Amino acid sequence: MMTVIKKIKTDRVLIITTLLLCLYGLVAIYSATWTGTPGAWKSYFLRQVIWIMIGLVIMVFTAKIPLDWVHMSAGGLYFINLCFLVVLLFLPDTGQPSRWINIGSFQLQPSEFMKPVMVITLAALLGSQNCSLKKIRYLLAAFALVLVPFILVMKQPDLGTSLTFLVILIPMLYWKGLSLFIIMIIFFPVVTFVAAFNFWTFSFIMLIICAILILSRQRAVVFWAVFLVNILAGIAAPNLWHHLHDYQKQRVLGFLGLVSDPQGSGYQIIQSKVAIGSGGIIGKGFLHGSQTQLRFLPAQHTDFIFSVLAEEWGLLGALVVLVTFLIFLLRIITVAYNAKTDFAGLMTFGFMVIFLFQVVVNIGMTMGIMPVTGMPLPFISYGGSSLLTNMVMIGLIVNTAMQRYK
Amino acid sequence: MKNMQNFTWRFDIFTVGALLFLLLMIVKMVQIQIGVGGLEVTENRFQAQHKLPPERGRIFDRNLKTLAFNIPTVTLFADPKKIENANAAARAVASLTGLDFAQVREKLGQKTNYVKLATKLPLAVHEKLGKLGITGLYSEVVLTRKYPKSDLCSQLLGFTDIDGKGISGLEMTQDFLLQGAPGRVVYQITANNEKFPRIGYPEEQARDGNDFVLTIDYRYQYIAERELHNTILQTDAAGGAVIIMNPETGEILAICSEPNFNPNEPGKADQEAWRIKPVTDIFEPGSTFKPILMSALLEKGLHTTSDKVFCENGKYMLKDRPIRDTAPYAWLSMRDVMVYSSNIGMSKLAMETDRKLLYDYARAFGFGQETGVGLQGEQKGILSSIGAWSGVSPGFISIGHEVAVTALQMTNMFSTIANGGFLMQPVIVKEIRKDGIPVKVYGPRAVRRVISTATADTMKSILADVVERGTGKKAAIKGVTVCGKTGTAKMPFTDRKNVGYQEGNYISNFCGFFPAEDPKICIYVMIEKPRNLYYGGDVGAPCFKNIAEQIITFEGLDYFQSPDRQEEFHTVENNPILVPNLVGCSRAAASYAEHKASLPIHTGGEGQFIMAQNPPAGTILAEAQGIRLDSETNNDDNDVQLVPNVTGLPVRNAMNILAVKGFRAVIIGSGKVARQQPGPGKKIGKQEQVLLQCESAVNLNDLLVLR
Repeated sequence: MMTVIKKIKTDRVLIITTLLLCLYGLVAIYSATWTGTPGAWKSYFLRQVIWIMIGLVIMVFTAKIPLDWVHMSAGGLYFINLCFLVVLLFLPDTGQPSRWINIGSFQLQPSEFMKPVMVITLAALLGSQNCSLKKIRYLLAAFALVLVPFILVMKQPDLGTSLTFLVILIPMLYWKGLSLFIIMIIFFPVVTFVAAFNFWTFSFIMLIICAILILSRQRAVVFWAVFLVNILAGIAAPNLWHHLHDYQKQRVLGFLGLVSDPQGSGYQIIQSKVAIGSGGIIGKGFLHGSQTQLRFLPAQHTDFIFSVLAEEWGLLGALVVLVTFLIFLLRIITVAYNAKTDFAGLMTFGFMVIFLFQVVVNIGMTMGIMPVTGMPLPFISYGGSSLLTNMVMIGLIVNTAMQRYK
Repeated sequence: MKNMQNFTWRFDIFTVGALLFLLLMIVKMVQIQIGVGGLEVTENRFQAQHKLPPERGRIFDRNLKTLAFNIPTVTLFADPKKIENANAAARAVASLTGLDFAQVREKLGQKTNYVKLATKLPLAVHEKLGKLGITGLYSEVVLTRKYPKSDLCSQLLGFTDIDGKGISGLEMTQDFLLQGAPGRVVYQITANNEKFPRIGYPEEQARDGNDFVLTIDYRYQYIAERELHNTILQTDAAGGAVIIMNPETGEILAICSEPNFNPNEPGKADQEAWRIKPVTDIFEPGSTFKPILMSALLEKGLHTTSDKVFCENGKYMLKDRPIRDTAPYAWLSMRDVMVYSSNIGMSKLAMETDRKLLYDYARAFGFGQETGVGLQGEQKGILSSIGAWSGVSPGFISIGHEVAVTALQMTNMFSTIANGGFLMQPVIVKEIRKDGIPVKVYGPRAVRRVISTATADTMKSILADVVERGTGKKAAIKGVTVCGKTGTAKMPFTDRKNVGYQEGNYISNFCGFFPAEDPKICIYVMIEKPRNLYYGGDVGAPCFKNIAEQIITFEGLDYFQSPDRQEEFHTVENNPILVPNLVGCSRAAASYAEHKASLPIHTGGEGQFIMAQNPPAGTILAEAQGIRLDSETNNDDNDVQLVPNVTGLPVRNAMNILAVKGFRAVIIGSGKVARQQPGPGKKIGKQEQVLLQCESAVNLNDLLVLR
């Protein structure tokens, strides 16, 4: 009896928070696309409603399918998605980033679907019976799996999504049980990469790395390997930097506060901050946000949807959104912790990382503490691909949760 | 799970890490939303302040007639970079505004994104342009300063530049009170560079400027300006100034000077014309300065009006410097020294007395100091301290030389005598109003008592005598007792090369007030460099009279002590009538002369021109009487004719007469016929020549001036 109640409860929290987030999204989209003329808002609002309906159906479906099937079809899914990404590269050049494939009147974003597929694939790899992180080939395989779509998506170009793949990998390795030392070794090149733009910071970081390596009494081979990798990262950094697109450079620099470009990428952040800031504690009220209603916010129904909520509903509204996300994420991690199999646990955890990453980057972006990367806010931002993907993930998480108590 | 222990801490670390991250974001959000940090600073780059211009304060005269106000006009400008078809746009502008097409086209071709096309266009242009909807052409409604009475009061009012900033006159000195404070609207600039009013920002309304009510009476001002202009025309003078003041209050009722300008188009006039000459220009006044020493002597009891002074029969050497009178006088009473304006008498009196007395009283009457009226560029004049005086200085200062004064100082001095001895603070601004409510009222303020009422009364009786029987006769007005004093001064050289006085260049001035019993109006007239006539009594006094008579006419009874004096004012003077010359004039000209001279004319004959008249030209008639004119036609077919007498006629008239007789006129010179050849009465054939030698004769008797 207890178990039955618990099972239902688990489902409820996840599904209720999901539905709540969808509801917030609908309210915000309605306001963000409200023009004061009747009917004009309908296209976005109604489409989002339709997407949510479709998403819920898919969620119910994915919650019911045996997880083993998912486990087994991971490779196939990965391959199909990869094909889509490759196809995108060969689409006729329109001058726009080629992220979408048109199917009928809908646009689909394969890179969006790649996120859960990536997680499933990695979970399948790391969750297999004989996988051990002590064996270097599993590590390399995991990296290879991530690197291919990473490069393909970066070519689109879509830095935000491609970074998501990298971000998924490390926590999943961590969840699998990778030692902290190795994670540190993986992180070091990233740090030196950034530090390499200044000789003194670079030298300082290298000294710390050496100290850690010596103090943890690593073998000479490891020491030199790590040392060389970091030196190489330091050398590569400025060169790679020059290969970034201008808008990416601007975003990164703008985020780091190194350039102020109020007319360009900085504009979005400033307008967003103004919107959030002008909301105050209780907000300006539904459809009364001047920043929102006067369209000062770029992409306000998609990437900057949180600013709309914060302006019109104030700090209280923003906290409600954040707390909902918090409950939502904690619930998922609990499901991951309690998962019956390694695969299910890793998969759920990976999904959680995706959600967490998106929430942190998106909301952080609207508040100017993260770079503008075009990351949607799960369930709230307008967009079918993102919503369907998220629903698939929720479905699989619910699936995992239900299996736990079978 | 193989090692749950290990796995649990991984779960905990991650959960705690994730929580910390979310906490960080909440902290950041609270910071943004509760508003710590430099949001305002970042915001400013995306908001534009739009100034709401205040309406500049209006200026009224004392009757609240508008002297300066604001009208909405349209300023037309363009962004040439946004204009697609410059030719079409230029054509539209040209047809809309009447500007030259080529000029507009040239401006629209400039590689800039702002070019001003025209200002001060009528409001209709704004609407019409809006209907055309040409991208890149913009119009803006702005308030433009307008002076409805054009050049009336121009120097006093001054003018503003295109941005509404005062450049001269009261517009400049009172700019800070007139301009008001602009309001503002804060606009948010969107990504598309559109502007929206910033919601939640207080919109600050503009505060309009203060309105000024001047002490000026526009009617007095108008009369003063017209009469000054007429006098300058008549005397061929270089310039002049008139001030009308209420001596009881020190209020300036009119203040004007020539040359003048139209403040609506200040650029068209010489900058000279912008000055408020009555306060900015200093000059040696001459005899109008004499009342100072006179009142000082009377006030101190050093002399009485009947004390005699020997006036040296018109020529006197003060040390090495000659002083002359216009007519030789022997013994004159103190009173008559003033009445006949004896320079010798006055300077001798000055030399006899303590020089400090003269200096003190000149200063007490306000000379050598600014009056503090608050007009732009006011000068204090020159009154040297006693230490700087030469041996002859008292003599010359007493008759208005070796000092320099402003017209306002002179007016104020006579007002002091008029009001019974108080030097008043001259006032030009009566009230400052805010939204129609007076916020500051300037009442009369006496600076000091200069002379006693008794001395003032004596001075008034002396000055009344000046007008009644002295140098100021031409200022006399029937029915009103006028007090006044004439003054004529050679102008000193202003350059450094020459020392002394310019020959033939005079300042003619007259200051008077009336009615003597209770002076209400004080008028000062100063004429610069008059030609032909130059005595203050001949130039200034008639101007004073003309102004005074017009004021009396519309002010009515107030100025008359009794009804019979008013009747006196209104009686038509029974002047002897001088019969004009009408011979040689056309019939039309003759009938015009009839109208002008109010002489009934009876014309006989059918001819075009008047051949004879009776009584002849130059006859003085005691009363209006008819004149007979004969316009005979030449019915005489004889080839030989008598040559008529045309000597003394204007050349045109002479030609007319000769033409009627059939002669040909050959003219040498111009003006009036001085000699004719052959002479009158000779018989010559038709078509023969009559030689007319003409001179633009100046009748010396006309110019001879007897004082």
